[in-house]
Amino acid sequence: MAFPLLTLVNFTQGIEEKTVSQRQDPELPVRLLIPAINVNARIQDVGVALNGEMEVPNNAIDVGWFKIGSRPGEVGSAVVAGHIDGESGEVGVFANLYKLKEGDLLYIEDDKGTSITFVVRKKLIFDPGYADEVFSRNDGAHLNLITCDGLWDGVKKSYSKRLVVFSA
Amino acid sequence: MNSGAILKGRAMVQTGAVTLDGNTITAPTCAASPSSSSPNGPSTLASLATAPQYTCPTIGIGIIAPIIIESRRVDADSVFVSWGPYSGTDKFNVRYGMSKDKLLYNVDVTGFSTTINALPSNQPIWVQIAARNECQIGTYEASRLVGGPSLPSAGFGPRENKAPWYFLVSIFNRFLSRR
Repeated sequence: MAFPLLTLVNFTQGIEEKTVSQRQDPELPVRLLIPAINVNARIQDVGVALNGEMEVPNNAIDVGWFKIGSRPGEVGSAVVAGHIDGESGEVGVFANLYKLKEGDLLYIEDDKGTSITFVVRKKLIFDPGYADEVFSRNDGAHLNLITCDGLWDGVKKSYSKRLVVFSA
Repeated sequence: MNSGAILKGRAMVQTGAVTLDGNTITAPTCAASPSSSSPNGPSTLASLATAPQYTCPTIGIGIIAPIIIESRRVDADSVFVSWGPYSGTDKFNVRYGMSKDKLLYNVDVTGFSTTINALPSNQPIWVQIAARNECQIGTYEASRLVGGPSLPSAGFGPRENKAPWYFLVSIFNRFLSRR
């Protein structure tokens, strides 16, 4: 929530004496913790790639929060993506995402030090492409985690499926 | 007018011109207007000349801001949205934009769904909807992201085992160096 700048003016002298910034930047997610699969990852901000896909973090150990969508804890779907593997063959941060089960806890820490807790509700496998269910829920505060699944397609340079863990 | 004619009042022309040659034109005085105090009497000329007062009707009582029921991306530059419930009107204003706080575009819709076309390609679209009538727009529901991006490709695939190739290349290089 943004507040207007508060300006204190010394009217007797007719000059501005002091300016105090009252702006409060909205809380931004900075860390994702998933104890059940030993994830403690830094959160990068990501947007939309030129091909229309959600962007992904630029390394295999961070996760990427879709900054154009809802913030974690807001009404709407906050979406976080992470790699299943890395460019050099290393294990990605979401390599074990498939192991999550209903009831597991996820935690998002914001830049003010606040922790928001989410509970895993379900896992779904999607084909690549649009999935409005992942981005557009409006009936509560949702956190959806995405990574790849299925078989590697060497021609398309992409996995054949997408795994989404829904939590709220 | 003929020369020397006498006219009481005004002369107007439909086509051509009024030409005056020795004419006499007089302007009779108006009769006193009837009083407007009589409740059943005719209106005064002044009141007749006043423009009719149009009152914008308010959005009907009980009409609520609709909620988006279904939304999906149709293709890279269009999204489909439907909403409800019916609460007394089927006229709505759909406001949309590419950021949650900057819904710069809007369109009036009669009905409970629409497809918004000609959007910036593959950009997420935020939408909110309000009931409207012919001159007012009601309260909007909270904006909602309706055109999300495609699911990301978050993997690089298994590494190819290139050891056999490296082995063959090293043998070939040794062979070349001996020659």
